[in-house]
Amino acid sequence: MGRKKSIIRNTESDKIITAAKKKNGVSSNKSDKIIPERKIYGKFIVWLSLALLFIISAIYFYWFSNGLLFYQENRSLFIFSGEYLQKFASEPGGLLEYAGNFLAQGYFNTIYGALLISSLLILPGIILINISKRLSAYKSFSLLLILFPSCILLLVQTNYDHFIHNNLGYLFVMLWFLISILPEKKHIRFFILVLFPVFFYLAGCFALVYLGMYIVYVIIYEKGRLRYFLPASMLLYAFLIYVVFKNLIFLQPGDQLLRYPLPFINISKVPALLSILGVFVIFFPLFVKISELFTKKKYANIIPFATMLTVLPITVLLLCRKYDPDLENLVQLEKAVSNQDWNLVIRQHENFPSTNVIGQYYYNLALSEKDQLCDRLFFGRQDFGAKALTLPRDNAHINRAVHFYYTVGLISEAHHLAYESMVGFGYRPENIKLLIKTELIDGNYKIAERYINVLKKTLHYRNWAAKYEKMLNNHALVYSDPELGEKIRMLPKRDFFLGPDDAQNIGLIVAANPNNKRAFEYKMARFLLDKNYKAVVNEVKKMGAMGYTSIPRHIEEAVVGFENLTNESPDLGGLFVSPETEARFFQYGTLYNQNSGHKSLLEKAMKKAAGNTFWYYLQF
Amino acid sequence: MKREKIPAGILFWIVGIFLIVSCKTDNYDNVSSLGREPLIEPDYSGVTVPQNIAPMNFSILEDGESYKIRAISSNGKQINIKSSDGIVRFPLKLWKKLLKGSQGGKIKIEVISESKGAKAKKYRPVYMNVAREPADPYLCYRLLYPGYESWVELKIVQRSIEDFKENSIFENQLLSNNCVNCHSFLKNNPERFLLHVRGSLGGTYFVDGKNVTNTVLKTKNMQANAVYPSWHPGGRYVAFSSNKTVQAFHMRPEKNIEVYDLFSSLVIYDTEKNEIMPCRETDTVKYMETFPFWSPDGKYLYYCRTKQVKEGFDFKKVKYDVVRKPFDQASGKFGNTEMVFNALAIDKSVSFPTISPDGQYLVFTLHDYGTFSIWHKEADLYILNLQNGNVGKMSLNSNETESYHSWSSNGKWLVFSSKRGDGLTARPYFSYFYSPDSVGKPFVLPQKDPTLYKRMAKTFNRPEFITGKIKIGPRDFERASEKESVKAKWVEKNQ
Repeated sequence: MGRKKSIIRNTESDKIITAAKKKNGVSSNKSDKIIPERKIYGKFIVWLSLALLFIISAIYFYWFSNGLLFYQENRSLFIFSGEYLQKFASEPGGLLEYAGNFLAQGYFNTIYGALLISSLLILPGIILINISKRLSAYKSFSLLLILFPSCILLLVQTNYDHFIHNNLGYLFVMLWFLISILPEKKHIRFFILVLFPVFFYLAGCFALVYLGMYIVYVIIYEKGRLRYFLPASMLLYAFLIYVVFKNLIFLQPGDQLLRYPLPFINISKVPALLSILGVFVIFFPLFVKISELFTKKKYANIIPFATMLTVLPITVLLLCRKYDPDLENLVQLEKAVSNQDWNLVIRQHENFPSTNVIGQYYYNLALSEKDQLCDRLFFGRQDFGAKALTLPRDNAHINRAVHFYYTVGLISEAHHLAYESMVGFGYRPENIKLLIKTELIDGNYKIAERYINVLKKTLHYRNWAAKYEKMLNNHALVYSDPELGEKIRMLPKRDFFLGPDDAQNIGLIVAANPNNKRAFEYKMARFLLDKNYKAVVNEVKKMGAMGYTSIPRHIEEAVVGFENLTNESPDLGGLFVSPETEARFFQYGTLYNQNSGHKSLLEKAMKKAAGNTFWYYLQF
Repeated sequence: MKREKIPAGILFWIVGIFLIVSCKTDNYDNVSSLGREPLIEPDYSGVTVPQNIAPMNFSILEDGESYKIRAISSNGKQINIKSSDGIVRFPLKLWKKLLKGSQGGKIKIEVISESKGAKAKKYRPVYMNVAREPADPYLCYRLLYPGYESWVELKIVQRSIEDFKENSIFENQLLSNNCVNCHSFLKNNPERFLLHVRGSLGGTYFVDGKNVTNTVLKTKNMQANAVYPSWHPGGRYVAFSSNKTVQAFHMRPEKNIEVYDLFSSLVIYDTEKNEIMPCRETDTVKYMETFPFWSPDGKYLYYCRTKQVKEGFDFKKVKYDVVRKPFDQASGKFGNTEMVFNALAIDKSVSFPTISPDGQYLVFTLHDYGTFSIWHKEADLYILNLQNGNVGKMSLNSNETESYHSWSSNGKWLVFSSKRGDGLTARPYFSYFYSPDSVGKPFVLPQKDPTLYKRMAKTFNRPEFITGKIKIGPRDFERASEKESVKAKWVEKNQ
């Protein structure tokens, strides 16, 4: 029966071959293998299209959106250990995510990342070529069917929260489907269907896509009773497997078994595209059947070419529309923060200002790390006032909020947030690194060792871990480390509880260690951003005792502004405003007076001349 | 096919060589004897173990390329093990034989480490005492990250102490990731227990055999949820403290978390009538009451109490004493409160009063202040002789936190949480109870992989002995959560 089916399927291609042979005056001999020109041409266009898509994707992820690679690499930590594997193996679909994490661990290398993503985007196309071949001879519209999933996946992949295991899932579905329909012998095909529980375990909810795809295939391509009996049996079989998985084997809730590892919750922005892709894959056998209806030779050569010339430019166009330069800029800032490349953060924000509160928070953080917060605060864009100094300590911001506390030396809170991140999101490079540092600072070497041992089992962070491993049980080495030693010196001298109000908290931090200059400057920056110059001036008298020999630039500007507005001479505790600042203020005043008659021009002129001053921030 | 004969000479040499190799004993000419025991982890040297304990696997922390270990029972049975990585795992069956042959005696463990080009080192043997009395065969605990506020993957687990089998009883992923806590058994009985679930599927889940019922104990008359439980030995009543708890985070590295109550009181739940009632103080002073524990005869309810805190109170000045109230089971009424241990007088605070099954001893956790001893490094276990009132610090303590503890049903074993490993994660330690003045050196629950504790970031919470295996599982709690919960009725009838 399988043989008969094969003959039926090949009828169309046989006709073409016969026609080609007649045209060329070749006798009809079954052993002759003459491939029609149109087929060769079509094949060439298919492979050319996939190659072009690969190049488009590689360029996009290498040059334009490589921040995505950093972002995703930092969202998981692949650990070479049995326990890590076990965690994923205990859930259907978990191994898919495990495989995705395994591949994504190399994203720190941009070339690798761009090539990997691009390869996984075109692989479905290659599998669909084979499925198409199996279902039917090549048709003019096959290219559209083959390119469509890869293009959709490329567009979905622009979302930073679309992880590679989802691509693997679709790839796996198509591959398993191909394996299911390849064998001619009925019993082998039944054997593959019997293996559905294995596929469900490996692919998780992607098995449902496969189930749909196979049922559609059977209804369209099978003949006789099997056409109805097989789908019903498959559905019943799948349901039984679900019941057994849910009640006897696995401990996941039923709805999770049906949706993991598809990101139904996380990717709120692109459910439509993913849904379209799922529906397309399920009905792929139907689309192939429909494509068989279009057999006009007249347009046979034009359609593939036209498809390529339409689909690829549309994909590029949509890719451009989906590209979010602000988000990419933010992720690049985050990458620089992760690498502690503070100069890059400062440079990046000053040259390509982020309009995002998190981007501006990172800028302020970098300034603080370089001890320039009150010298350079207004050199970068500040749209959010004091809100860009700290971030809320909720789940949405916890991984970023933690940096502030580490920077100002509030190690207990940095540890608290890093720990919460580890509990809530699992091991991630950033939370583990912070846990190691904070435990070393606090002298908890046994706990630090536990986290170091985790990083030692990773590909990318083992060298980092080796550096800190040397510090275990060696307080002198920790103390002499430029970064950790500095944090130890910044620790609060007395205990207190952190409250919900960040403005009060910064005061508590300074009060607990009056020599903590970073915390002090954050306090001053808050006053500056709140335009509370009186509070700034009121604090200046303490600065001499803290070791300041000169007043930071923006604080001087606040003092001069205060003097000008109140005609009072504040107590500066023995410090004085530099003549240079006085001169700048004079220039500022002159320029203001010159342009004050032209309201429309005033702000522009002042921004150009003094946009990086507290005076401008205060006035405009 | 014709078989060819093996020449007798070749056969002789093969057999001879085999015999020489197999009969080679560990006859070290080149061994240096060290006058000390080997460093092993966990530290099992000199511990006292029950006769039904799982293999006490350990890792050797001495330099060497390979190790030879010989464990010898009191009656001369031996296990010989070779290890290339220093990890020693005893085969279960042989270990059981070893235990059987050492009841009331000792297991002797000899260790030799070998390195190429150097003399092998022989250490002084390590001894483990084997008590005749078994411990209850299962241990039940909650596994969680010893963290601050967040939780994921909360589990209540039962572990056979006789081997390494472990399975979860409750997994919060099946109950919408709700929080679970305070599992509590009626006299170590695996068929009668309760646990609290907090969240969308919240309530107190009572287990009776295979029946699981979700009961909402909190009524509008209660200011807070029912929290710390204690089953009356009769099985009808459960005493709870109802606590309004808050937490704060220290900013100095010496301490992480401060958890304290703003108010707390005792309530009694009648499982037969589904009624919850207050357990009021007759004193004019308003107290906060917590950690109830019934005496084994059911005639007294012991608990901790301190004066009600006022706004702006100094949490370091909150000190809990141990008191008790007589209870009349027939009428369900309480008598007047009596002081049992005045911790305030010594400027300390008490948590978790727990009485031995024979009713003679009360073990409690003593710490500097407050009610949440697990975050108090100075917390230690003390024992009070209820017959003569003598109090003493137990010798099982360490420099790190010792906190929650429970007795085995035969009263010969204590299991308690201790953070002595790393100062952060609590592990279940067992100690043999010889007398109030003498307990066996504690040992941590043995694991199949003895290096597990070094890697494991989760903490063991509320270790409780149980006399058998719990027969229900996570899906039973899931099913119970899908049913409508039972609402307890508030009744004012005490005193």
